[in-house]
Amino acid sequence: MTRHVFPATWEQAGHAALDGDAVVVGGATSVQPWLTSTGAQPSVLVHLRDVAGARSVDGMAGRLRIGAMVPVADPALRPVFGGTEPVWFATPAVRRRATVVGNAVSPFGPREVVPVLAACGARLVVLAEGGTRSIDVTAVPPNGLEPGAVACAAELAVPERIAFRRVALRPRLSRTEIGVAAALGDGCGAAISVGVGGPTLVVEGAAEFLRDPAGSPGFAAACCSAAPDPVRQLVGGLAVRVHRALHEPGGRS
Amino acid sequence: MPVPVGRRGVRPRDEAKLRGEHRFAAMLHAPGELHAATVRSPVARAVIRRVDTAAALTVPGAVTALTGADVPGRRLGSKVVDQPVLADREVRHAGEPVAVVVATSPRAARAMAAAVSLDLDVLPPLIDPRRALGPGAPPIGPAGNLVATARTCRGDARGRRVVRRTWRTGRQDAAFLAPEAGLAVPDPDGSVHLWVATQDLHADHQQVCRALGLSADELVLHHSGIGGAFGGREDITVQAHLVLAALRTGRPVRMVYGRAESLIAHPSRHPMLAEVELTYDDDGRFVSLRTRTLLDGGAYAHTSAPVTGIVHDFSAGMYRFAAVDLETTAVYTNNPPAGAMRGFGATQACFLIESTVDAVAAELDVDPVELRRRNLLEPGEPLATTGQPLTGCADPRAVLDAALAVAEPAGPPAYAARRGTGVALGIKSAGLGHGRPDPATAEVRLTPDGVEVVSAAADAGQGVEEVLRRVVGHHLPGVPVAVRAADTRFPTAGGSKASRQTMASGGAAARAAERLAGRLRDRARVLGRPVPDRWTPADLTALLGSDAVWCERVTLDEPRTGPDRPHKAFQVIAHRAVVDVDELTGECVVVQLVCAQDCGRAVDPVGAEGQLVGGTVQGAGFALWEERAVDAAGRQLTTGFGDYLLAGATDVPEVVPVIVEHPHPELAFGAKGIGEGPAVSSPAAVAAAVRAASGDPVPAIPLRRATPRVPA
Repeated sequence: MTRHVFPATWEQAGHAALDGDAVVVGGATSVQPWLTSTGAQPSVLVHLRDVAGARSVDGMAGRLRIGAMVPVADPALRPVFGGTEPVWFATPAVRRRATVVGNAVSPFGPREVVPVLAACGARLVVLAEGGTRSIDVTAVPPNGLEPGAVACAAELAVPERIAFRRVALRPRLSRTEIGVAAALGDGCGAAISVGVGGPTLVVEGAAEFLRDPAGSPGFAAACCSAAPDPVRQLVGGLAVRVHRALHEPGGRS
Repeated sequence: MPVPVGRRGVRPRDEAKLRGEHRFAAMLHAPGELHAATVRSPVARAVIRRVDTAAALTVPGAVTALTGADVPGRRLGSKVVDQPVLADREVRHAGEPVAVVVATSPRAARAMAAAVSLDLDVLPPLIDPRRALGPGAPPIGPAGNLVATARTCRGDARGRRVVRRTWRTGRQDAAFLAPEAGLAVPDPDGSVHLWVATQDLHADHQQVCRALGLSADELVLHHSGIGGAFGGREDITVQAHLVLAALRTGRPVRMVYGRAESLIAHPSRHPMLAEVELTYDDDGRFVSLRTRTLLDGGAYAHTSAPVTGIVHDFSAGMYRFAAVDLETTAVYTNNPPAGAMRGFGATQACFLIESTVDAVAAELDVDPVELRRRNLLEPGEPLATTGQPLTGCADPRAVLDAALAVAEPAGPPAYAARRGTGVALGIKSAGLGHGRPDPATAEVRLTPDGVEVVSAAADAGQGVEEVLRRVVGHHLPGVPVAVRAADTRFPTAGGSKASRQTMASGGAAARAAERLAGRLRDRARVLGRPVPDRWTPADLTALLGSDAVWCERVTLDEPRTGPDRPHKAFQVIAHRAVVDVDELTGECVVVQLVCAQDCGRAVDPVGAEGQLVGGTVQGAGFALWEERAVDAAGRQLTTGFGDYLLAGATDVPEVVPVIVEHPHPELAFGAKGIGEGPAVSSPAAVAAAVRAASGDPVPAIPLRRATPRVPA
């Protein structure tokens, strides 16, 4: 029998998450299908919905702190997604429930928002048995955080401009197969993702090319060097589009 | 009061759905109900050594477990009776039902299903349909691997030039949104009542009674709400299992499939492999057509035989050929079964012929539209395959013109994309055809309070209920009309398939209403009363008198079909597709689809447009994304809408329906069935548009994406 726990504080949440095979629930858009489709019965479901501060987006000195219960569609996150709602992420109904932090750590499905977060230099605030720590958003293992750990928030830079281009079978709804994200601003950079549910890789040395309106070839080369062979040219092509989008925001790319 | 025939209006049933008041099958419950779950084969081909349910029966809440041993030799099948109720002795495809477990809760039933142990001698499966009829192929069917074949050979002319192509189509799923579900309730009189979402109550009733050895009055089937069908509910899924479980336990039993189970439980569209040779003269006149078409029927026959017939009948499209040599064959394999799906083979045939026509246009470097005009049959000319004259329908040129008259989308293609436009012409029969009985019974009951139409026709969302309301209302103006869904104690309406219900049940109800109206007029004359333009309750009370209820029941099976007239009526369709293809990624973005279709007469124009839009989108999905993926061992990999990529509104932003009305002289109101037509030619049109944009040959659908033109 699964026990449902609704902690009011992060301390309570962290304590509850240490219970056996507890599963932490944010927006539940991944957990619920997992429970339904597998018939899994974890001993505890730790729902974060009532945790104080979990729904807040706090901005300060060009940075954002996104609480664990902030949904992808939250208008306060628009600067992170280029001034609009990320229509490439699932459906409107899912975007209203799925959380940014939950997606970034989910072991159940592709972490679609991670390339964008990584381009903004995002780090996750993780509460675990040993205390609170900060980890790079791209460093979450494929099977999620370790048992007992709770991702409380994401902290990232507010980009001056950001662009994300991806390859997917359908313009919307379909999962990202290859993605390139880049952002301009302090602490920002670029990231690529390769393969549905595959890793997100930070593109080293991208910042200098991103600032330079003529830096498209260099940026593309940097992205290509981070990509595996079979998709290198495709990543390069997307990188050119991303660079163009950053420097010609009203243009077609 | 019904909306008049031909006028736009809201369907009452739609409002109930929007309010959440429509009772879909999964929403049905009964006091004391039990819950059933299916155990399915994990492999495509095996000999069953043992099905061990001992552990399952120890699960808390376990009630009973049923295996093939409980129903040995019992077979289902709408056309060929070859499908066991539960596999006994052998399994023929991955996902085949092997056992049904029953418990006091859904969770316990799932736990029981997981605890059933299968001892199987796994055998090498036959996966490639091209091997099915060759030497050394393991026999899958009851008498070899041939399900059906059709051959037409006429004339020996050949043109000076030739194109040869091989075309493939994939395994599309009906993907109705409400998965299979049902509720079986034992009655104190010993019978079982089954509520189920199906396309054909009576066909299910006949199959289940035969398979379980029940007399007709020991089983009553009722319609539940149906959340889409598209052919996927034409065959048995939960029905026999639920009845068997209810009989075994003596308690109500319900079963609801999840999406993953639904995607393996009902037949798919037949995958097709076709080798085509078309010869033509220098002026682009077609001369001969040769096809060798192979359909993968999967492990059981289902509707493979009639699908073979439809593929065959429409493989030459609406074009003139002096000579044809056509052979269409369906075979057994160990793949998941294929069966009925919207288009019923005409979709594959259309892709075959229309893609070949485009190939000729490319060879000649002529406009594909002009090439079509040059070779289309004139009205009244015989179809190349069946010889049936193209009558009762619009001139295909007029339908093509109607599609082309719609303005193309404004604005340039997306960045770095190339835009392509494709057209395709489709034809499919409406009604069962080939002399098969195709009756529908409707009863119209008139009281001073209004009219009740009684029919067992399944409204799967296509709108037959609204058609019945309107056609009856037309003959009895001013009288409120209600439609009551009958169960199997009422005569059959035939299935909601083959685009037939508007013609069949609509025709029967119209005739019954017409007779009642005639009786009213006669009674009025006898009584010396005026015959009003619109009837009022007072008029009816006065005329019906002490009779209180007047009733007319009509069974209609017209016009008849046979060797000289294989098909009752034709659906004639034209699609134009505009697609942008991203040069870098190969991603295909559908920009606009136009569907023009001869509807005869659109009884419910909003419903008709809905059919045109929905079928067109379903066809676009078939062309680009939708496929049940099966691995080399015959196991289906697709498990849900995360990997079965249905085309949605965001994928097909602009669909323009164009209703062409060419009334059929032998059908009530001239109205033809239209439901399948929109899914017939849209895949071919989308494929043509991708070819035009990308230069790719697109020999197979779903395409998923065009070839990327990655910069060096």
